[in-house]
Amino acid sequence: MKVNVNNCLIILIASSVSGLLYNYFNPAGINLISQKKEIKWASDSLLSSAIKVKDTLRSNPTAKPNITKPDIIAETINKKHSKVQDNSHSDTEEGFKEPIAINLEQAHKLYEIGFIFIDAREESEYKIGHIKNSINLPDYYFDKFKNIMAKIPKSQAIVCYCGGSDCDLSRSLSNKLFSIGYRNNYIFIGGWEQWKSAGYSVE
Amino acid sequence: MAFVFIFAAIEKISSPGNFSASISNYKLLPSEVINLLAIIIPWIELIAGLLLLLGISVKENSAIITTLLIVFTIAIIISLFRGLNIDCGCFGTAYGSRIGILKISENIILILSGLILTKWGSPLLALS
Repeated sequence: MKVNVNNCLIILIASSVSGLLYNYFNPAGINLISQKKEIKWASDSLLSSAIKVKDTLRSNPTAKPNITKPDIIAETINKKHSKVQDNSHSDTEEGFKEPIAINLEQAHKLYEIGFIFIDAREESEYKIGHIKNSINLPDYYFDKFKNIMAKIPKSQAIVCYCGGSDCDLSRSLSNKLFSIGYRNNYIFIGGWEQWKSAGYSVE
Repeated sequence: MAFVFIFAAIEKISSPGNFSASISNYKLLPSEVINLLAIIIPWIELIAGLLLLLGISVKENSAIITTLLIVFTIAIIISLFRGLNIDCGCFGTAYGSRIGILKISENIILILSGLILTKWGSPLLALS
């Protein structure tokens, strides 16, 4: 007996209509056409602010003795950043509205300032090689490993990265951390591949 | 086979956003069609699975399911060759399993079952 193509079509059409109707009436339904989410990139003025803060800290190391150096940097960057960005980036002093992407050069500058780098790849990949002093928080096992973040204050500026520009782990992890309160949140898009190729500090 | 697809469909229908993200992770399709597929595919799985379970149009439903399985498996193989380390999205994200040889092997077993069903239409295999 042959497969009845008409029956197949009827099943496919009925399924499609059911799916569309369910999605239409479902409060958690999604748009029919996905809105491609553009990554917001950090402006160079943001990085300039970071460097200026670094110089300020050098000249006045006792500025805010009760909080750690990266905290001061993050706070000052946010204040300056909110002034230089347009409305779509109009971040509050408590942090950004969403994680902001940075390139290799910007990531290296933030690394030198002392931002915390978080590796979103799996432990096995992290062990093979990672950015020096970075923390491993595998995105796929976020719930299992998120306690790692307990030691890091929410005001801390963080940079998430993964294998390279073709991987989404850093973006996904960054969004998860953002949702639990890490608002000073950057995504280093080039990730491990670019960092290693550039010859920056690894371990 | 019917149970596998019904279970997979319910997980995806309950969180269409996650399934849409899973399809997007494969980086094979333009973003414009991803949500539409995320809405429709789970319902094809659900209805074909239910009809298979009830023994209605067994050959047609197994043909639909087998075609879906072949497409999914090709997508997984392409992604593995491209070095993507992503979640399969096969059963939604709650039971996250990564793409890999194991997943391909599972799919091949299901495809073989589907092909047998499509050819001979055994209701017993449909329920197994």
